[in-house]
Amino acid sequence: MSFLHPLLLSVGLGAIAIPIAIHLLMRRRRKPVAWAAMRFLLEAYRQQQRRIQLEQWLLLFMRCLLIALIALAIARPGLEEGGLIGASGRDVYLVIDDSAVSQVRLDEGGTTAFDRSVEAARAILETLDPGDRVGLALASKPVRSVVVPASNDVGAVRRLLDELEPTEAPADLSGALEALSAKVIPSMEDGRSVQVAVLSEFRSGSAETPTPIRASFSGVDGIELVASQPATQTVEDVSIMEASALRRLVLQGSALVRVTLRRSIESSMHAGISTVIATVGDSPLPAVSREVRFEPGQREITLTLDVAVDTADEELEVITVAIDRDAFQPGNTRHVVVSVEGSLGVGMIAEQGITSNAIDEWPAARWIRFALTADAQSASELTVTTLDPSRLDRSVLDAVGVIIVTRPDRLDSQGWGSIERFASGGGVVFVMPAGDQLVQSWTDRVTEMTGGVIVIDRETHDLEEPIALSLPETESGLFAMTRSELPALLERVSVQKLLRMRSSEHDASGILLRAGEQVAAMSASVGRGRLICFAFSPEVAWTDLPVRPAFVVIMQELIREGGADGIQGYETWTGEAAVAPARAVRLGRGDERIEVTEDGLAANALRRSGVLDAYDAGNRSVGVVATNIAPVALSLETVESQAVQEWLSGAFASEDADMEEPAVRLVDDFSVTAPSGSGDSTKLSMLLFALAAMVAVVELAMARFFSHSSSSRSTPEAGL
Amino acid sequence: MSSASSGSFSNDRAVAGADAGTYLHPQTLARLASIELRAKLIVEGVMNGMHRSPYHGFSVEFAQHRPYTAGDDLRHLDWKLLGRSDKLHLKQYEQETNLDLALLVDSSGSMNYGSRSYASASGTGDAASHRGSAVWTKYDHATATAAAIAFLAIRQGDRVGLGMFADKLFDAIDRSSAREQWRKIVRTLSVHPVEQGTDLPRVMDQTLGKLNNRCLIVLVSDFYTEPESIRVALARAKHRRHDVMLMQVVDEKELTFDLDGAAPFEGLEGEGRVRVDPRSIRSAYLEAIETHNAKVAKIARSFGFDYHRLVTEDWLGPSLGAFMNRRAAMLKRRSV
Repeated sequence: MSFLHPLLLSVGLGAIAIPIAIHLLMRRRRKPVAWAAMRFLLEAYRQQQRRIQLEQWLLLFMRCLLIALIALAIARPGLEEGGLIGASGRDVYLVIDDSAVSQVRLDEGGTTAFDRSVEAARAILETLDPGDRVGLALASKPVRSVVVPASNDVGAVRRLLDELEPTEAPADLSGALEALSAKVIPSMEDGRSVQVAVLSEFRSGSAETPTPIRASFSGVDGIELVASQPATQTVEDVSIMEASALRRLVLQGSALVRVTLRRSIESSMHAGISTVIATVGDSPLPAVSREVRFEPGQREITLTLDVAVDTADEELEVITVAIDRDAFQPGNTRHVVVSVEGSLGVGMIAEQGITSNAIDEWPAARWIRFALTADAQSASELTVTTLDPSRLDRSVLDAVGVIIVTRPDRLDSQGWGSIERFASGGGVVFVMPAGDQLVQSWTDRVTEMTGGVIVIDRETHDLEEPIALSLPETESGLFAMTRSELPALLERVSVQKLLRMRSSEHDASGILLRAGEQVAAMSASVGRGRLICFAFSPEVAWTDLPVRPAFVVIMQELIREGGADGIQGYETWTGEAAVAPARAVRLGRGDERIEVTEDGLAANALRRSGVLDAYDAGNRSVGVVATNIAPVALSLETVESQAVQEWLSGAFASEDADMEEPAVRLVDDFSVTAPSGSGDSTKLSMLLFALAAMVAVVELAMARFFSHSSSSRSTPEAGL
Repeated sequence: MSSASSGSFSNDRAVAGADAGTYLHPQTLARLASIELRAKLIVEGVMNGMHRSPYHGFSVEFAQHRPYTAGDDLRHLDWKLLGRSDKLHLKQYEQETNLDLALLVDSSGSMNYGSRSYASASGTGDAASHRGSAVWTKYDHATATAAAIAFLAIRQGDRVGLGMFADKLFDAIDRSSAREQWRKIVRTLSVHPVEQGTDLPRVMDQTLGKLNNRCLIVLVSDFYTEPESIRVALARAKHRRHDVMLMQVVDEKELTFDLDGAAPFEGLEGEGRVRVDPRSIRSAYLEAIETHNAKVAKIARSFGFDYHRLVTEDWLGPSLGAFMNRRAAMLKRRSV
């Protein structure tokens, strides 16, 4: 047997103590009555003692029974399947949208969409019968099946609702329904219907209607999907859709932060002004403030802020970008992590000895050194040193952020091991063929280091005619800042020979440069770092790239952007499992504490934006993790009811075209929704109330009969 | 007490001319400050009610004849003389004053019960009696009755003695017809009841040890003791050829048991305490007490003794009238 209000039942059953307590207290409080004819009283009492005690016990029992019956009736009991009255047979699953969008304020009182969803959930609980069960799932990413399969402890679910708070993670209603179906469908019982109530405002940040919902309930009978009506109330809002540092590695006195603001459609109807403020951690430098004016009809503005950073301390800095408070607070703040360093160490593994001064005989290392120190600023920002391949110990590797291997043939097995460790720890390694060798014996090591992502031939391939270098169609983040200029610079650059290099079929995103159909340069992850492999040696015998301006741009960009890979500061989206800095075992700030798994990921997905410090096993700070809200989670536009209904109906989509998808019901007010299967508990409650009334009547009659108040009392005549 | 007494006395004077029953009602008795005053008024009330001088009546021996005059009671006509001489003469008698009366008043614990408040009984606003009791107890009723009988008897010239008893005879006054005897009796009646139970056979033995001639023993008690002990006590009195009047004083509540609500009941003679709802045992209780009282009456009658029940709310007239009748009957038997 289950109860709709178990707390009331507990209180009611506790009230049984009341008549007992009254009985005991009354025994103590009555004053003794002095009585002369005691012998007759005692005689009568002895005669009636057993009967009196029996009567008292009976009365006490009836009174306790009366209270117990009333408590049971109020608690609205229900019987499980096979019970006296029969099963109520309904499992109701509440899928609540607790994503960032649900935090949008809908009125001056601060009521949020999330508040309304929880209110609707409570209203649904009120319509439940005791035989019904209730489940709970939360739709913010990653989805949580809080109470699945459904439980008959409605009170516990009600308490869970009281404790719920909205997150800043994006919504994943499709994922929530899929996770629900995975557990619900196998546990479905015959005779029990399943209702799934999706409680959301279905704004565009929650319901990605252009993307079909996964057919989680396809071909399953006995499941009804109901949902709250989509919001029709538009919201005036400006959100920061993006904020990122143009260079995460800051080698100068300021960081460039690109900020994109977007207004909601309602706001874009008229002109508006927003103030963007960027502050750097706890830096004493003044905050940067910029006023942005939106013209009527203009929804989006991108601006670049030049944020001064203090380069005296080489450390990670978090730049917080904020705009004015409005109805949707999660969209008003962003965090950007930059690494402030005086200079970036670049180590080179190259040939030893003096090289020829003839330009056409310059080795690759010399061209590279030349490109990296082309101007005074670069020379001060990049410190280029030559490393001894036989002494690549930790002290040497810690001093550099980038290693450029122009003579891979000089690395022995131990040297390659050191290079791999360097890359895995966050370093950037450039590898290119030795210019004077026809057969490259090191290529297997590269394939091994990149897990097969980069596969290179050993033999040099001479091209019949030079092939121009070009950028691949897939955009590489490493050339983000120079993407617009590089194509023009590469127009007259070609290669004459190269090593054939292939990317794996699954990962073509690492291609940096192409030479016709051939891959000319490629990037692949190695642990926390990166390996960039050139298919050619930047020597005149291989290519004319070193003598072109493009070479300076390519090398500078790859080193500066690649060097940023070693930054132990990470930006992640809410709802994602954050990558922790190297050696971090724990993330935390203030009371928050999240363990880091052996994979280097935060054990729990971060559901709130903000900045967390990373600590190693010795509790030393080893970096920071900044969490922001993904732009997709910040969209507040309303979606048509029809669109939402059709989108949700996709959960029942079937490959069988003849099969009709059940309609999804949209509900305005869940408190008046007639629940299927209601009435059983009402019947049982009414039965119990009737029983209680009967017991009350019997108790009154017994009390009257036992007290003999109806018996005649002979009163002797008194008077004169 | 003196001021209260004077106040009460003036009230008594004010009502002195009223009906006799008024004086004998407990409400009236309660207004009298002292037993002495109470008794006087009671007796005067009784006598007024009889319309006859207390110094005439039936308790006299033949002295002489006198001619009949109109209005004389024909009951005293000498029918033998009329038959012999056709003359109407009445018999005249000399007053008999040598009746011995022994008053035995129960002062056991059970007599200390009363349900009627003293204040409501008095009507004067006094909250308590001179003994400090806030209720009109059975003992108050018994002492008033005893004092009245004693007063009446002494005025008739009888010798009156008094014994106060519980489990034994603990205070006694030898019989005397002296005027000051009545004041002694009143003083003795003013003691408090004790907490002991009643041992009637023992009390009767002690009493009989003090009596050397036939007496009228007036036993004033609630008789809440074993009927067998009452029978034994009366048997011993009968054996010594004494006459006995049993006056059972009871409270109305004891007869009706009209109480509400469960409460602990505590005996006045150390019977202990029991918690009970009186409504639940009322019928059994009433049956028990009525059976007991009927047994007491039956035992009394089995010895030829009078039995009277005095309820504390009733007036005393019938009781005193019964005493007078019994006295007369006894004197008549002696004269035969």
